[in-house]
Amino acid sequence: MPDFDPEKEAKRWKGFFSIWTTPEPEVGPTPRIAVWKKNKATLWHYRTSKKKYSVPLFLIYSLVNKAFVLDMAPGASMIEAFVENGFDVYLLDFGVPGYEDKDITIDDYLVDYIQRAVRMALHHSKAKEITVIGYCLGGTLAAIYAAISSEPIRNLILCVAPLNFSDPPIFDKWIEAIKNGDLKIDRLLDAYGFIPGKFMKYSMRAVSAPIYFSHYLSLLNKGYDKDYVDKWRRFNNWTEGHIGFSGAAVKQLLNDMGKENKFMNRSLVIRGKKADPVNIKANLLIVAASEDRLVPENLSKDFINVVSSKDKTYSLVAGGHTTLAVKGKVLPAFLADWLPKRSE
Amino acid sequence: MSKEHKISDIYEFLRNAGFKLETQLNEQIRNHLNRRDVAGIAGILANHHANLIERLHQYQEITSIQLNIPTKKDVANIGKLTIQTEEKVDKLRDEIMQLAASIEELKALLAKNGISDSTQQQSVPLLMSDEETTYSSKSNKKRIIYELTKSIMDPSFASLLDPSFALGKNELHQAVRKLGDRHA
Repeated sequence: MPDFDPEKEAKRWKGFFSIWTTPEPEVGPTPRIAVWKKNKATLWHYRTSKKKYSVPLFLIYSLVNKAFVLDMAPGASMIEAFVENGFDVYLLDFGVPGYEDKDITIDDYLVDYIQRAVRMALHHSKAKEITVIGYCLGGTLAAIYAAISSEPIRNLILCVAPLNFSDPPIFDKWIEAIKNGDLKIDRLLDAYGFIPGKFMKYSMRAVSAPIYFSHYLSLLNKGYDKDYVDKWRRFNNWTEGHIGFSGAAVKQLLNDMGKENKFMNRSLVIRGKKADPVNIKANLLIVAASEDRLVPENLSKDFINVVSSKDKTYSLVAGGHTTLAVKGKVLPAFLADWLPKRSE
Repeated sequence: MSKEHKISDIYEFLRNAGFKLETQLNEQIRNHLNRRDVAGIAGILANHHANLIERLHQYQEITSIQLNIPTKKDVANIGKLTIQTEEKVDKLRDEIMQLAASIEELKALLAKNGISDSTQQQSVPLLMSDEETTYSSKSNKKRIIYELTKSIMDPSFASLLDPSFALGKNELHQAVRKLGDRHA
């Protein structure tokens, strides 16, 4: 069989099985230091050696997954791209909460963690203003924080952030049942108190893709390519690594956001302060991904109409939910065109 | 087409077919589950499940007394105490940061008013005794800092630990302004 390449086939199958036989590749390669810690959360600083912009970036990642997706590997890291392009970066990593954190609410995350961390970043960087970037649920938190903040936010970037729940893209009958009171899970959330990571994983999977095996076929297709296998494993590690969630926070998100859509309806109150999107005056960039099944664009698109920002942009980019987080050494076009000129 | 290409195509075909099958199955599942009656049943089951969990927790709390073992709640409560302490430290840090900012402001004001920085090499104690109320004629800055620290520390240092203690910035700003006016 002259056309059959046994070496390549051996490599392919070796690469395929290596995911069970060899250690996980390392993640988070960009050098960083911790500037502040609170409970399980850490504020990381990624210093740029080629500083070009005076306004540092403050990244908020989701509460559902681990933040290392923003710094996967050299050449596949959003943080590395920022640092290489002259931005000082601060990342608020919420860490892995435990049962003792079951009473942490969204109010606590916003005021005690995000607001305090932004103050720390401003103090540490000695910058006069800051750019806040939120990914996924971190984007929702970033937007609510911007609506109550007293800190000088120059730019607000919301990537694939669920903000408007008026028209749920999937499981609309269930959302309807929750709104009508036919499906109440508050008591269940109270009984558990803390939602373990595995529960979060299977809940998210049930909503997006209950059956999920095609990624193994992708791995088999390119198992001979070591770089691809490493990339696949890092990504798979992230998709499998859901973290636990405070029951109080889930309840608040479900009722205030999912059920009553309070933020979009301008009736959300955080620690006695009205979180009205109209309060947002920072330059705003909303980014949605065309192939995102988890947070389709209708969950964020209309938010642009309810803020007071004079400089506001909506951008729909090609890709899925995580495409925006995993990038190479250059800034993706939607950021390269928008961010540098607003960061000087 | 070569055999090598054919082999690659097999994997490519498998991947594409698998993806299609996966998408179709997921859509089917979603369509079957996305019904009001299913949501209603889920609501009833959730309620029963919550009831079961609550009972289990109650029994566990009762048996833990007899067995003299801590429950998850007990351990969590200890964890919460640590978090509370951290919260207090954070508040102290905020106060210190505000004070540091005000001192920087004061330094800038002194520099603006041309007061010499003769104490740069001297250490200034945070809390001064009454005996130290006699100021050195050489040290304007030391005297100013003393006045400030005295006014801040008067309510007793222990009160810093009280979360409602709103000392610091406002008092310090007022003091700085007064001193600034005096030296202007």
